[in-house]
Amino acid sequence: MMQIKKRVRELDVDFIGGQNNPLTKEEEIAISTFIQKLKEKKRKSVKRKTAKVQ
Amino acid sequence: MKNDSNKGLDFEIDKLTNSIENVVTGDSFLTDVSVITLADLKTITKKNNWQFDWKSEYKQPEREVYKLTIVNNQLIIQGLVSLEIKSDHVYMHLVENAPFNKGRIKMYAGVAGNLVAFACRLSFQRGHQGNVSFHSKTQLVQHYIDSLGATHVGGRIMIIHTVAALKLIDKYFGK
Repeated sequence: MMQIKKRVRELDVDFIGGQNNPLTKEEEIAISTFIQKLKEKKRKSVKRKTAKVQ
Repeated sequence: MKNDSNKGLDFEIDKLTNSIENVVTGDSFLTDVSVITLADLKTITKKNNWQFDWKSEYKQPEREVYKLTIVNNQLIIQGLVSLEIKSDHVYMHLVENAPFNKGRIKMYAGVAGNLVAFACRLSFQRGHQGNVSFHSKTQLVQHYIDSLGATHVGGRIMIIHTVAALKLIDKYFGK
């Protein structure tokens, strides 16, 4: 008999993060670079849509 | 192999909206999020089975510590979150459910989800487009992708970006 596995989608944690390993400078840079890329991607997408309309 | 990191947008984090659910009775209760006070800290101690040193979080001027409570019941703290406003996002230092909301015998479900959604909302309010980052344990990376729509940036870092943040806010604060 085939069993259907239920996918867990509800956040089920008692805590997130910790106090012993603070965010490093390298990690801060990685986050900022990622956010910058997202913004750039969004900007390009909006530009393409605007160009299509025109 | 299919890339799971792109799946985060069709998730259902919780069946509740801006509320937590009593796991025994199934009753749901509307929630409030507010800044903790010095008086609150008297009971938030390791002695009372809180895992983290919240007094130390409270003392750090760049961090803001918020409590989740049930509407009209401000004295019972359901969970806590420590946030820092960075230059381009909100960093979530800590989230902790109250001791009675932990493990299999927890009293209320949905506490952590409410607090994460609050962090996303704060990120929008501070002009950071909903971007929230946090540290994850390696074994929980996939769980955060599935439940929060978060993206694994690398190492320990996870980011909840604009679209996923909007979904969370809609779930918890939308109605």
